[in-house]
Amino acid sequence: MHLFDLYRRMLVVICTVYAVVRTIQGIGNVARQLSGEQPALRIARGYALALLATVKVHRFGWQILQIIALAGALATLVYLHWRVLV
Amino acid sequence: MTPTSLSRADRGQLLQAADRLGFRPEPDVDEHTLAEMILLRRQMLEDLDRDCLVELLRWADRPVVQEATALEMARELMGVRKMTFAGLSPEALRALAVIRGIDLQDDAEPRRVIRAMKDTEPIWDKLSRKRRRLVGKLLSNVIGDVEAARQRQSRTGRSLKERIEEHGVVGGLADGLRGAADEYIAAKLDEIEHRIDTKLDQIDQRLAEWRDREIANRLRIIKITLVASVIVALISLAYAYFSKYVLG
Repeated sequence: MHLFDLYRRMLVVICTVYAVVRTIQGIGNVARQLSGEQPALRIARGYALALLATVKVHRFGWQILQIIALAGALATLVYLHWRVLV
Repeated sequence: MTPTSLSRADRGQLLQAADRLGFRPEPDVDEHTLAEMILLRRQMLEDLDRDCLVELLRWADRPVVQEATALEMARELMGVRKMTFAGLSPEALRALAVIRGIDLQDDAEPRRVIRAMKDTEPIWDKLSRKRRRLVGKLLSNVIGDVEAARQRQSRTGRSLKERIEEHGVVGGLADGLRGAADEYIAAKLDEIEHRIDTKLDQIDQRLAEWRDREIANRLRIIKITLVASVIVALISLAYAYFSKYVLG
């Protein structure tokens, strides 16, 4: 295996693991802060859900389209890698 | 007071009991007759119709306590010297006449009942009432439109003149001031509630803006990560193509 291949695969693994761990940590922190049976926390949980539910998706439409396009481009490049190397 | 206690009471106690029941016996009445009169008066008041008493309490702007007995309600009405009877039913008028110690037939017409009550009003009370009515009329002319506007919104709908006629100058003005104070407090509470609502809306709007900024930041991070990944993938593909097909 080439050094660059090794570097590529390690980079993918490390970045993916890092992103997943950080995401889980972030969600866990928020869940821990909002957990509890006190009336204030119950209201805060309800309000947080209401805030999320009232997001206007069309405000982020262009960014979401860009992300979808970039994800498609990345998937195409991964497929081409497989075709070239196989 | 029970019949047994009345039979043992002295003249002073009997006169006090009679006063509490709202009647004044003749000075030459003996104790035995006085005790009978007290029992009879008490029975008359207890036999009054509750609905009529409630109607009279509302007419006199007195508090209505649902658990009160007929005797307690009648005692509350004994202190009412109001002489305007508009809106009272014939049964309530007769009940009021009984409370004021006026003997009438059960089927007496309302006009006769009202005439009887006006005729039995002490002359001094009559003069005081007319004097207060005059003062009330003068003061209501001085206070004028402000009072008219307040009366339109008041619960009882009585004018300043009527209140002064009934309660005197100080009592009538105090009643008006109390109502004005209540309205002022209600207006201030509405203003405070409006300010709190406005502040809550501002907080809600700021939190929504913070939420949108956070989501935009997260999406930007994802986009930058994807851009970097695509660039690295392009370079990697170019390198793989070059090393396989050019260099062999």
